[in-house]
Amino acid sequence: MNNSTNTSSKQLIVIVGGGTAGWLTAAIVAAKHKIAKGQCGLDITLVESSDIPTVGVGEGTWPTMRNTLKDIGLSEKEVFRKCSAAFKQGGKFVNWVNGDGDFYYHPFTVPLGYGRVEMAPYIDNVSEFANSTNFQQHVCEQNMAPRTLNEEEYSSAQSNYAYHLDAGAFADMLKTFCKEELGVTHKVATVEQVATSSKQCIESITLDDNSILEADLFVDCSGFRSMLLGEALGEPVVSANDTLFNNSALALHVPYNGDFEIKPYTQATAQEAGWIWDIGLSSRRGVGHVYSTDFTTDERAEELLRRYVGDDKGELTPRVIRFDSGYKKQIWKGNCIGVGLSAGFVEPLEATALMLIEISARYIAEQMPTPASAMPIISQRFNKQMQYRWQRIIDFLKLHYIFNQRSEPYWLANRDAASIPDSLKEDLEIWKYRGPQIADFSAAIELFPAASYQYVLYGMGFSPDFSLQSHFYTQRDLANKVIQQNQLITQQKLSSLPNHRNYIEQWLAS
Amino acid sequence: MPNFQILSSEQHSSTYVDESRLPTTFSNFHLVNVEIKEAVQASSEFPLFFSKVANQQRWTISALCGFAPKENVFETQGTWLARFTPLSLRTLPFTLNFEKDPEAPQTVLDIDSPAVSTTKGEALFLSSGRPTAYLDNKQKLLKERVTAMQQTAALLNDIAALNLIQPTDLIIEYSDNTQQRVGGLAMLNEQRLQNLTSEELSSLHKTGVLSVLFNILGSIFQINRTIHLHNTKFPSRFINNVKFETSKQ
Ligand SMILES: Cc1cc2nc3c(=O)[nH]c(=O)nc-3n(C[C@H](O)[C@H](O)[C@H](O)COP(=O)(O)OP(=O)(O)OC[C@H]3O[C@@H](n4cnc5c(N)ncnc54)[C@H](O)[C@@H]3O)c2cc1C
Repeated sequence: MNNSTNTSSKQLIVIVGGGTAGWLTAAIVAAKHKIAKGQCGLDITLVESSDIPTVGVGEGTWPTMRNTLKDIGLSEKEVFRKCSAAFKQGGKFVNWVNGDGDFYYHPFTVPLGYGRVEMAPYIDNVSEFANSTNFQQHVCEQNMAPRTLNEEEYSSAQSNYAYHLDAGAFADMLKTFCKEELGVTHKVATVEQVATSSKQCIESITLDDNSILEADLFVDCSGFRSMLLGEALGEPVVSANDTLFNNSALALHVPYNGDFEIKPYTQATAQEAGWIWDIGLSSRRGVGHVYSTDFTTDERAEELLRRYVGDDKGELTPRVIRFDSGYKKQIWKGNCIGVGLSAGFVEPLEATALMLIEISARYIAEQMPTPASAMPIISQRFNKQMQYRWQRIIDFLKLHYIFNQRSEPYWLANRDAASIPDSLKEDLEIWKYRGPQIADFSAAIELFPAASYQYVLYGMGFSPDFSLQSHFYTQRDLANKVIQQNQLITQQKLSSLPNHRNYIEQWLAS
Repeated sequence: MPNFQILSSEQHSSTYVDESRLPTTFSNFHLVNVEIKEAVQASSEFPLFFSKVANQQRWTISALCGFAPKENVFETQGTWLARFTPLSLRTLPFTLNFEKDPEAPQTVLDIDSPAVSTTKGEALFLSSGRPTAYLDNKQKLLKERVTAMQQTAALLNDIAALNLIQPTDLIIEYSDNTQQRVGGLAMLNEQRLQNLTSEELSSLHKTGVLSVLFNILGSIFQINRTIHLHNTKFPSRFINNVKFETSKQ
């Protein structure tokens, strides 16, 4: 086993691809095993081609990224400096209901009283759910940071948060840290051939310098191409194109002008046949249009994007990205696991991609090194978990689309029952009369808590008919208290939290 | 005299405020403005009176922190002795100027304040010209004060309309047997308060003012604290007693 130069009894992980998926996986695994110390039974080599570019997008994260970066051993301040990072305290969805300027928030902090009292039945206008039970929307609307200068880095005691990061800089930072601090071996070369044994596992890969690499585990981080898992092992994609219609994206870097604010949330603004993301970094904005070519043209999509960013003169050049929605059923097949775009992709509406990379890398870190005899078991277990997660993500993304009242063909088609997965239909049948509850999401591998479903459903005006179970709802006094308490907390946050941009500038200067 | 400059990132990029020197600034105020929403807390420290805002017909609440202009006996050798500091002091050395545009007041800085420095303390602006968290907080306090002042004015207006405010002179008796009469203050008319009709009482109760009024009433006994602090700070002008005299108007 192992490649010819590696004579130790250590197991070797070879990662193919040096995008965010490759480097983040390398960092998470290497940090967990302290590979740099050389005392564990594991080595990591990352192979990346200098000729094949990374996808270069993917700038919104989940709050999970905080612990991930901390565990890797990075200073949060350094991350902010190197990646022009900013705080993200949730998502703001504009025009998803009528298209007349309506908006709702999916904040990262759970509703006040969560787990103690089901708030929705007591709120007269349920579309005010996030507002009445959570302070974060107000903090976001005022462009505030999630903490004060007196607090430690990584502290989320006041307000749960994630990041906006410059994708290219993020991968570069991870690369440097992996090589200099974490003991990851870096090889710049293009994989030209992949040898398999009956498409069940990878024997070796041949690089363009004619060297051959063997490994105990190959991690396919080669991007959409999925060179190992897809091309070589022939693992097919379970398509979600019939549920999620978008198949193209136009991405722009938009400079700031004059005195500006950095929005501490990702804004997703619905368009005729898609939506536009707007991600504030400290150095620029990342803005892009995700749309479906079945319902609009690239030209029209570009026009709407330019209009959104106010680029009438056409000074900015968008990059086009095509994609399919779907995932591989066997993400871990034989001795090969797909991580990142090679494992699957759905539109970035809830910024799930980096989070799935974190989960996958953590699983690898926890399971490796492993005897070959156990690999079929751990891979099967992982595949089962991930299939469930992908289905839940697809359901949750679809949820954003089905209660709109817009009249464009794209939005009508999105409401068509045939496009809604059965699993989501079943959930909705229950939520119709009692709303999503914590108990519906008790599985340990669940990604979105009930709170997320509540924010999105209620935010869109989905109003369950609570009358059938009205005898359960006897906590009105408590609910009113929670609403009052939320007002107090909101006031207190608004008077104590600093402006987002100012916080970052001052923090980084100190 | 304060020397106010309109705050700007260009002019004040290397201006600092040393908060530890703020009490020295407080020492200039013998009457300190207190807003209604602060009155309950302030009543545990200071004797509270009413006074007319300069040049205006509006009433305000004043904490009596000394017996002569420029004498704040709650400050001694740069230390602030009270546990509660009203907004009107906490916002120093800044204040808002409404003259140019009442809707969008300008923040002004008293550059002669002993807390203002070119070398030491909290910076006001970042290199980008944006305010620091310190200045941000001060500006939030200034805004909070404006809202609080509007509330105070409205509620005191109601109280005055009920004839609850009665002008009162202080008669200060020094140990050398001299006396000094201080005018311009007013107190609650306790008798009138006891005789309010139930409608009047319930309307005061609804706005939450009633309990505030009782606290203001009780705060009068804090005058002994002011006297004590005065005698410590200015032993040569030892005060034996302060009497209140309802002035006949
Ligand atoms: C429009 C859009 C918006 C997105 N927004 C978000 C978001 O907000 N949040 C989020 O979490 N995610 C988002 N994503 C997803 C995110 O961008 C990706 O999950 C992430 O960048 C990981 O990409 P990757 O590393 O798998 O692939 P890539 O970045 O494509 O990297 C592939 C790597 O493989 C190497 N490679 C390929 N072939 C070979 C070969 N033969 N030999 C050697 N090396 C090879 C390449 O050189 C490259 O280094 C978005 C994606 C898209 C398309």
